[in-house]
Amino acid sequence: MSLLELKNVSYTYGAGTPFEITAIKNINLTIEKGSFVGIIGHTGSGKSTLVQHFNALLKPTEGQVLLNGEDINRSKHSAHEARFKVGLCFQYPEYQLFETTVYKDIAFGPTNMGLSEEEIKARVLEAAEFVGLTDELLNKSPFELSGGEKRRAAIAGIIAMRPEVLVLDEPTAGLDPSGRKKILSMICEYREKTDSTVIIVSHSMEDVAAIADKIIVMNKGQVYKFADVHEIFAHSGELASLGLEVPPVTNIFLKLKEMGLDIRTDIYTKDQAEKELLRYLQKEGIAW
Amino acid sequence: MRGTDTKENLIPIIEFKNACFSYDSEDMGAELSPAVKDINLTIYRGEFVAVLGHNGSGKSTIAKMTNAILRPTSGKVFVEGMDTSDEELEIKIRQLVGLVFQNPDNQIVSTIVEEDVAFGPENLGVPPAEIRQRVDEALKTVGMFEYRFHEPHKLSGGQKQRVAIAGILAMKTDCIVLDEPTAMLDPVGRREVIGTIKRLNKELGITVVLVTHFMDEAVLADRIIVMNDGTIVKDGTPAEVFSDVKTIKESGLELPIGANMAERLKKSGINLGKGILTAEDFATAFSQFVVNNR
Amino acid sequence: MVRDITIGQYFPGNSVLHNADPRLKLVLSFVSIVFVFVCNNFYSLALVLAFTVVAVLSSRISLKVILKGLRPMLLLLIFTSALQLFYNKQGTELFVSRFITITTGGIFTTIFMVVRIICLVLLSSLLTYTTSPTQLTDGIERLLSPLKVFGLKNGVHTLAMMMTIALRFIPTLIDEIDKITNAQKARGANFETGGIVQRAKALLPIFIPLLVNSFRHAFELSLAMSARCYNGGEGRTRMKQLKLAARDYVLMAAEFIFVGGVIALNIIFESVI
Repeated sequence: MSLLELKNVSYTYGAGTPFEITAIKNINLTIEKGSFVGIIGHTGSGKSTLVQHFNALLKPTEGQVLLNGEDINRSKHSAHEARFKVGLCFQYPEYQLFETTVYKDIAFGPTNMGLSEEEIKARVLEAAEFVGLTDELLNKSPFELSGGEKRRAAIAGIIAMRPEVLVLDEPTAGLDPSGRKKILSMICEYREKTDSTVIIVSHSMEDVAAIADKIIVMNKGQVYKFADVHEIFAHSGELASLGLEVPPVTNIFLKLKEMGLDIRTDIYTKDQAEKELLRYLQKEGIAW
Repeated sequence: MRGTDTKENLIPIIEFKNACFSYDSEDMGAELSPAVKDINLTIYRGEFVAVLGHNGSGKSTIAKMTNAILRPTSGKVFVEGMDTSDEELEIKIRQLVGLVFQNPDNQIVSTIVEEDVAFGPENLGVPPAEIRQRVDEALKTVGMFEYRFHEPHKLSGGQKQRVAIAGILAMKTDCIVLDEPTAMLDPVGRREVIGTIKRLNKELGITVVLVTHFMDEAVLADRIIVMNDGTIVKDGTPAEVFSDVKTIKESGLELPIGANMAERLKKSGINLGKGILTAEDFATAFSQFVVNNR
Repeated sequence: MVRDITIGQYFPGNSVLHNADPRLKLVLSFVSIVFVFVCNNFYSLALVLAFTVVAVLSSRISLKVILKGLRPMLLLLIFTSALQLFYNKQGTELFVSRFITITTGGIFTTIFMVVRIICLVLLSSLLTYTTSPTQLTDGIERLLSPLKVFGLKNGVHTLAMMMTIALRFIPTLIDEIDKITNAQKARGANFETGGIVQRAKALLPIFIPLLVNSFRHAFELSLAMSARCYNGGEGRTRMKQLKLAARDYVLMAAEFIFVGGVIALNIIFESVI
């Protein structure tokens, strides 16, 4: 059952003015419930514009966006509701915090949904737990938190709406290696526990390769490819031709291939890499 | 030869002597803690040094102490023998050590690229004709000369950072310290900026101190300083630093891809040798291993 | 999407007005506008109109833009013209009815008023159309710098620096408002419904992050400026030197002719209003 569907969606900024720019064109996508999708593409390929259609922040200039089979833009009300069903977390979300306490900030979404006080409380606490914020932090002003804590609070604000689809735009932007690992594992855990559909936009091939099942490759405003992660990274040469980088580990195999070794190049995680290197040595009868 | 073993031809440019710094939590937000303690460090002319550490390890604090933006709360920092705690020497020190910050937007002052690059020399009272020369040269060096009449807000992150670097180049500093200059950039921007930084060091001989948490940037340096929780825990060449896997892991960092895979293979009993850092290093070492052991 | 907003609309170009010294343009605009109101007979009025038309033509800005700039004035002009035309009782009466009186005085005053307002709007718009905000700031700073005699130089420089930085950050802040608005909308914020109080409250989720972020921008910028040895206006040089060129002297001459002409025509011919 398709959860989110885009049919011939196009979007032009400033339509009708001399400054009009078509950011995305003829997008056809079907995202199944429960999938974990990564969106990759160079800057300007339309990724941001695309994701803003998922929660009706942008209304397509052409085409339709369907959630559970229904057009989310059929009325102002449905568009507004879509924001709660598809939770969109922007880049550097820590810069949007505004409330007097972290609790209230996380409660902003649920409050806008018109829920009761008890329901809001339950959701805020649940979300805070997911992201690892202690009760003590909930009572502080968001501006007293560290950068990492702020980001987690912002993500909690989206999770608290219990969206069917969670969309995160560059969730690891600006984080150091251990920060990145923590956020990514938090997202994976969230998905497992709630069975939700997760979409991540990222520039980091490594991150996307490690956690997504399927990948949408955007190029110049169109969907270049939408396939299983394995299928996408099996053709890493193609990615390079689009100006995208491959996961660092894939580079090793591309180079080995260049050096004449008969080795697989559709490798995109370190575990796979280790396996393939050992397999190669065994195959070639090389002892160690 | 660079590094810590042969020091005869090395001239110190920045010296930390038992330097410590604590943020007074009333002045600055929680964002900017923690402290650095007992820093003893010498940066030599012409070096390309990377300061590597997790977020909060104190590496940004070190960067800001190199040109008196922050003054040590105890101990001393010297720039060419000048004490950074001496307010009167501030301007002179900043003419020797320039600082490029993380956020490309918050360094640009003017509405036109070339005017922004001129800001530094203008502050120094350089004669107008010379400013013109310096600005044009600096923009050409970073590859942004064609954009000199453009409005900064329309540039990409990588372009803005290069303009910021040009602004420091125009001040003709001997050393440029860059505090996580690529943290907010996309991969294209990162490549542009790192490429520019490499050139500044290799071709123009400018001393570069690059504060970063990206391993693939740190491996480009001649020397890496690893920071953890406010202190220096390792100081050596990239090969030396990344062979100390324990310290790297304890410091919340990762190994660069080549070193990472080499470590994994070591656990299976395969030793590919030393000094493997990048993907190229690994590929070369692996294919050599294959050849040697057929 | 970043929207290009410049104070008072600037249209880049290469005309003689675009390339003129901004200090001169500031002074000449002011003087011209004063003399628009000095003229008091049809001959000097004609000169004012002719001068304005020549100025507009020499800016090489499209007619469409110019007319667009006059549109906001249309309503005002019609209203005040009607007032003058129907209720001014000076001069010879031409038509009298129960409600309105049309006199020669009324007609003349109306014509003068309409022409003057049009010329005023056109001349002041020309200043901003042909001078970028940066150039304007520069021009103002240098015009005011003689005030250093009164110990105000630092004040002048600081003001100019503030204006430059504000201009530089306006597009960035507009972009941020967009981003913050979208982020809050994504959590169900509604900015369109409700009465005044509700709508004002709804703006808090935008206003507070914007304010906090602005302080952060300012703080980080101040560090970057210090790192580049900024120390106020003392001892600062400027890369771009403003020097009067031949075209500036031509403009000054044109202005003198205009001013002289208006005065002369005012003297030679009788005042009509």
